[in-house]
Amino acid sequence: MIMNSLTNGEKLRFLKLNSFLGGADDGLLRAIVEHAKFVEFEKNAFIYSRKDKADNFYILVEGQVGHPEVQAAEEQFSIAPIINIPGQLFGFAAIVQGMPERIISAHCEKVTKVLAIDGVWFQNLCKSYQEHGFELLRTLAWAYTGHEHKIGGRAGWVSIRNVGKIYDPYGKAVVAVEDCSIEIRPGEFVAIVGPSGCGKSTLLNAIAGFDSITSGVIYLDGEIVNKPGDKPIPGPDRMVVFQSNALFPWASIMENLICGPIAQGKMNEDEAKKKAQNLLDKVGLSDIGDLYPAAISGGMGRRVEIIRALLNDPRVVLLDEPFRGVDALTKSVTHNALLELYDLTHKTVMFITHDLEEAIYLADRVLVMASRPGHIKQTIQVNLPRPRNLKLLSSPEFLKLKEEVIGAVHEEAVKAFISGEREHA
Amino acid sequence: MKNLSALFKNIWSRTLFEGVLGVIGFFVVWQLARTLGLLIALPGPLEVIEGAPEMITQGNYLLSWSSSAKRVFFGFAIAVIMALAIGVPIGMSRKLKEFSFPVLEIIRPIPPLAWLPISILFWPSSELTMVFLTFLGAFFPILINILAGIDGIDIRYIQAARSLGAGKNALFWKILVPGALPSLFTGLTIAIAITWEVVIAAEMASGDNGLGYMTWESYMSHSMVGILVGMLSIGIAGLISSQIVSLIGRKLMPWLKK
Repeated sequence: MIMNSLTNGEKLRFLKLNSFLGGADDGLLRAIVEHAKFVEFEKNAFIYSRKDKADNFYILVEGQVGHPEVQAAEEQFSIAPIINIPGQLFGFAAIVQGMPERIISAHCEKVTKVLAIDGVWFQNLCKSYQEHGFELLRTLAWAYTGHEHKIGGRAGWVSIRNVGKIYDPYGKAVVAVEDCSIEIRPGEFVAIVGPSGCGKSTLLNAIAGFDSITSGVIYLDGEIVNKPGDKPIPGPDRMVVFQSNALFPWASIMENLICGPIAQGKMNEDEAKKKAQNLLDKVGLSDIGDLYPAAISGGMGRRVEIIRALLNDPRVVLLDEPFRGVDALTKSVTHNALLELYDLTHKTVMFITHDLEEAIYLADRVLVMASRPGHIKQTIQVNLPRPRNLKLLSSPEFLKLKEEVIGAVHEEAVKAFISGEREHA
Repeated sequence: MKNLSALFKNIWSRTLFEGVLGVIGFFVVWQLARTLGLLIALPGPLEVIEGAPEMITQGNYLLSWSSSAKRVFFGFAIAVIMALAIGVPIGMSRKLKEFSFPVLEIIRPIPPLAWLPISILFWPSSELTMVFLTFLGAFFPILINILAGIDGIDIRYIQAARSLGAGKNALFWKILVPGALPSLFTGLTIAIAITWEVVIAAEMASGDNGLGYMTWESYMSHSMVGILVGMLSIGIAGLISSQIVSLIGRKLMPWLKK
């Protein structure tokens, strides 16, 4: 480690290269400049390692830093794997409250020069700047998802860290989920496939706030939504679309759609109705607003429920095997409605299913879960272009990917599937 | 849509038509049995129709209707209010349910008429006794169905509502009430039938007016036609009141269409 010096003017220049810090108050920036330490690392040095105390965060001056864990298949971090743009920030854990430990390491792939800034000091500095400082902290915490120069402050970052759930109803502990970590980028469509009873619904209920967890933490945009010992609170920022119809049978379709935004005071009735009707039109269900849910088909119900979720402007939409027991034709219509709505809103989506083909068709990333105890077994990146439509299902790229995936998943997943299904047969 | 509602209308009038046909058929079979000499002790419908106007035009007849109906109404109404006041808190709290369930389960199987002796001792008038017994008959079916209704609300509705940002108030009025309403009305339908059973028995035992008393009086004065007019009147009264209950139910729960 060679110490070197950098003038304050140069430090300021690198800080200003960062799109978030660049816009900060001048006084705040000057304070950072005074405080920031210039550090140089040799090639192959580790700036920090896993489990280290998260004390500093860093601004790249020169060189290249990699997060080796991010590339590994069994890990689920959607943090940019490589930092090589001057001004880029990394080691964000230090400025996100409640994250005292490093979950990944930072490895210098070249000789690397950085500015190191103490996280706790920075938090206090921001707080002394009141609203402006809070805003900066919040934006930075959100941007922790990596890709900060692309994503900006977009909401919908789901971070599931070492989550475990032990059911202990009659003194006999059943481990439903163990040490499960998943990172979902804002706007990402993630599918989780696995046999019944593998804990995927447990995980979804934990994110939604219906179920408590026994270890680990779940964050939504850097805020804790579920941790052991606390009774989680569900909210409109995490909307769930259930396995079977959960539209209120006593309310008309329109009443079902608008009740959320009105209850939250987000819209008045006319506004909500207009928005709901607009989305109904988009999925070809223009004239069902006055009907009761019992009068529409299962496939229509699924579409309405997805719209009900989206109308609340959630940060993440959680779908719990929504197309189970829906016939093939209805399923494909509903898939396309879901894709259309996704392309329209670009919300973060977590989609739980049994069906590998469905998962590939819909998602950006497919996670294969194995049971007893539930954990992520494998990750599949789906780099198929969007918008997607039915033609894709018969395209060579899709078929090739499907083949690869089935091959890749075969040994582990199919084994897990079979044993899992047998247990629950 | 227009065709659909026209179709419903047709079905509705057809069921009505079939119902009327069934009633006529019943009287025809009864009359035939009488004419063929199969029923010796019992008068036929023609004889009842012949004797009925004389009975019905008596002042007592309408009074019998109104006094029985009054007992049913008060007993039933008090039962609904009490069952709601007790059933809703119990249904919403597991602790309360565990405490109160054994007591309710011991009291519930006691038939309302087994309460007659203690009611006569306890209540100052036979009128109050009869209303009390009617209340008892209606109370438990309503209470049990309120509890079942609250218990049977799908957890997904509650979860969905909480996700949608519903507070305690909204959960109660928008989920719990409509969710338990169908079961409540099942209870009301059972209860209204039981109130008529109980009120008639109570009037026979300790009343001095009412449809039950009138029927019993006819027996005491050996009026066969009187007994039958009384019985038919009770049947019609029961039919009317259960129709009223189901009409209110249909109005309150428009989503439940067959």
